[in-house]
Amino acid sequence: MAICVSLRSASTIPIDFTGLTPKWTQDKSLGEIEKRKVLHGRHQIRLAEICRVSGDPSDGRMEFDGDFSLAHGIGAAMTLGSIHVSSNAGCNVGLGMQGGKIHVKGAVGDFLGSEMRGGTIRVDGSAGNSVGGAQNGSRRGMTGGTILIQGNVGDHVGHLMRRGLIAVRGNAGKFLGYNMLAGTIVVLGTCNSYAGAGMKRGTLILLGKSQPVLLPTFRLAGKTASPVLPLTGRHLKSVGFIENTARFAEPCELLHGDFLALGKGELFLSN
Amino acid sequence: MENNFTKICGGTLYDPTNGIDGEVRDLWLADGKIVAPPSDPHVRPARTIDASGLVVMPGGIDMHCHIAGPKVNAARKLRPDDRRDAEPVHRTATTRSGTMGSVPSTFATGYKYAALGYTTAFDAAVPPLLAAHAHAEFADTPCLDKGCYLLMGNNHYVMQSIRDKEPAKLRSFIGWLLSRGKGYAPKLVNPGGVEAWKHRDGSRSTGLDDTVPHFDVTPRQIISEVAQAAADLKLPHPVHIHCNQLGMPGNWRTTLETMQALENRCGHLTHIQFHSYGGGDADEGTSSSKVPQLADYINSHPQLTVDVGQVLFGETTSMTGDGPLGHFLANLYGSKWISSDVEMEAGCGISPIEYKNKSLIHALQWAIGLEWYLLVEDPWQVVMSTDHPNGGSFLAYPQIIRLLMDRTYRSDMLKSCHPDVTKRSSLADLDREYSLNDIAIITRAGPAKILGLADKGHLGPGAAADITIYTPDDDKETMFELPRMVIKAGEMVVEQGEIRSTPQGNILHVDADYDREVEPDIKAWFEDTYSVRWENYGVEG
Ligand SMILES: [Zn+2]
Repeated sequence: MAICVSLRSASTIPIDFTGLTPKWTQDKSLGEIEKRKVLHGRHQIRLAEICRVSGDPSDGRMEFDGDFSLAHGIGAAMTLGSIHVSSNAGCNVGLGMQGGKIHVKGAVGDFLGSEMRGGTIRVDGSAGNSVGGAQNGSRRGMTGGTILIQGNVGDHVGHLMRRGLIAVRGNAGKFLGYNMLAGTIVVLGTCNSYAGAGMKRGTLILLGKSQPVLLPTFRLAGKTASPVLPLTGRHLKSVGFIENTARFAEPCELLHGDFLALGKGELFLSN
Repeated sequence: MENNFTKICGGTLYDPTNGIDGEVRDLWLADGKIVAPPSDPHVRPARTIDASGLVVMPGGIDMHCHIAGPKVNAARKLRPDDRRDAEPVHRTATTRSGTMGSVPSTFATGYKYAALGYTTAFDAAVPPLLAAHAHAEFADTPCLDKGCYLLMGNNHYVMQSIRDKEPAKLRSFIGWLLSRGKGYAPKLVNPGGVEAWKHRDGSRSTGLDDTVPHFDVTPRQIISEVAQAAADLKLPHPVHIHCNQLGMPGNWRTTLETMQALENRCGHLTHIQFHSYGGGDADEGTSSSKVPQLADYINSHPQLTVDVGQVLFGETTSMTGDGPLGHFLANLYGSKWISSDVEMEAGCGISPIEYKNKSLIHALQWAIGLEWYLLVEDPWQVVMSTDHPNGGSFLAYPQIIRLLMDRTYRSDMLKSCHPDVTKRSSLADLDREYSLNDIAIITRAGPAKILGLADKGHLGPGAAADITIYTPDDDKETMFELPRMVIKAGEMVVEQGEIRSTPQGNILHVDADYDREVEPDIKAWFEDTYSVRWENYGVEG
């Protein structure tokens, strides 16, 4: 049995849940959990003032029941266990997480999995900007782990990403993989302009139906039947992200870039 | 009998200015000043502070730091990453909230300085065009008296006056600029070199006799003419010099030439650590310490003073009026960077930097800083600084004090550094240890004297009642990082780390007596060149 957190009433004020992780709740009583301070707007309040808490936290499972669009930092810095959100979640979901699993049934805000180091995040809906990206001013985005998004994503996905996998079933915004250092981003829908801008290393796999407008600082290396693609496809199927791998079997165009940076990035484009 | 005397009883005083080295004496205060004990022995003070067993010193004076103004605020904007993980300063009934990291927010800066026993601080690099910003931030930096030095070493009017051999114009301009920008002293940052860099990319290494493009003057001329003008204006702190070629291997020759160019005039060379390197060919791998040679010159020239600009290991933010230096650092470390061209006046470079003890260069910089403290014979000629935040935070001052007072601690830290440091510097051979009296000189009495602040840095009658009381401890870092009490102008500001009151503090600036006849000429040049109106330039009030 999991611990269940639900909002007492709809609020228009953001709530920051940073630190309310399965590890922290695991050995606490419901009373202790209810007394935990959370930031509500600019005020520190007890969790119980805004949320109902029930169930049993000992198995490391947490459920957020309801629309948490205004909740920041769900699963931030989590190390183990699992978090399930029944509807939407706000920004900074899984910020800096090191391990464990997060599943959001609805949509999430910006900075999903930002600076995460390990673990897996699944989102059934769409996500905002800077998925797996760096926080403002940081030198690194995500350095490990997996982010799987069924819907669309915003701009700057994988900004300064260093390692790990981001897969997007829907469409991606501008500056996909902006300044990325390494890691892999897969987009199955369409991709807006400036993909790979400033990337040093890393892999972008863009399998959408229509080709994105690419930067002139990427160079065509030719057609490829690289084993990377079917391998990635099989992996995504094995984790239940896609049902069939047909699109990963077709030959692709390979480009290198961004030659304004190191130029060791790979960009795979479906025909 | 009604009176407003405060008496600090039984403390052990360290007041080098008045020749008091660890003597138990009482101190009487009234109206924000230190006063002579009342002649009537029956007078009882309205308030008594028991300082028996405690160490009493004048309040600390930081004569070179970067705490307010455009570059400091730009650094705050550049480094949200630096603040995010730093413990925030929470609001209390008496204090405001703030953020830390290498560039704390304004109010937090005031509180943290005060909590460290400092009562006065000078921002060392303010472009006159944006001096109003520095003063606006000063208004939000409580608990300290503060002032700023105005950047003049690359000012177009300064260089034109020198080229045209018009020392009277130069003198009046410096007086006008200090008054208009509410500055305390002229500051030369890489004199001529910033302007040269603006013309020619790559010319980071402007030497004393290189010509500044367009202006046809040399850094040597700028240094000696500004020093002379400042002497003629009888400024309390004539000229504060950040030498050319900061950080470059082999720059010690330029530093020595700068000292020589001052001839017999007074001058202060700042963050001298960054200017004391042997080696050459812009190859950092060849760097070594040339402190012994430079300190020799200082030891035989009492009119010259230095502050150190000690480097400490860890992450910080480099901020400087030396635009080319910022560019160099950002390229060297591949880090983010802000550069600013302050039109007719100055430049600016800001970039994050991390000093690592396993890096030969960084460890050498650390050792060279310590060599400076230990090789300048007269402590009145050397001042403690980290060039906050360039070499490290002002919060590291207690650690520097321990490094100077405890040679075992020092040699242990040296052992943790890159092993080649001992081959390239003399630090391992230096076993001098500072006394509390020496520390009182390099942190308060000395800077007060160098700055010409007659009522600061000492505990004699007439001095401002800026007093720090410490609990003695064998570990000097412990002793200095948590003063028992800090008193500012007679008011209790800090007790054992807790802020008790937040006085506004005074602005220290000079109203130089200059020849007003030159103003129309300055105005004509100004209206011709600046992006702001003459009436809107400078600081009101
Ligand atoms: Zn400085």
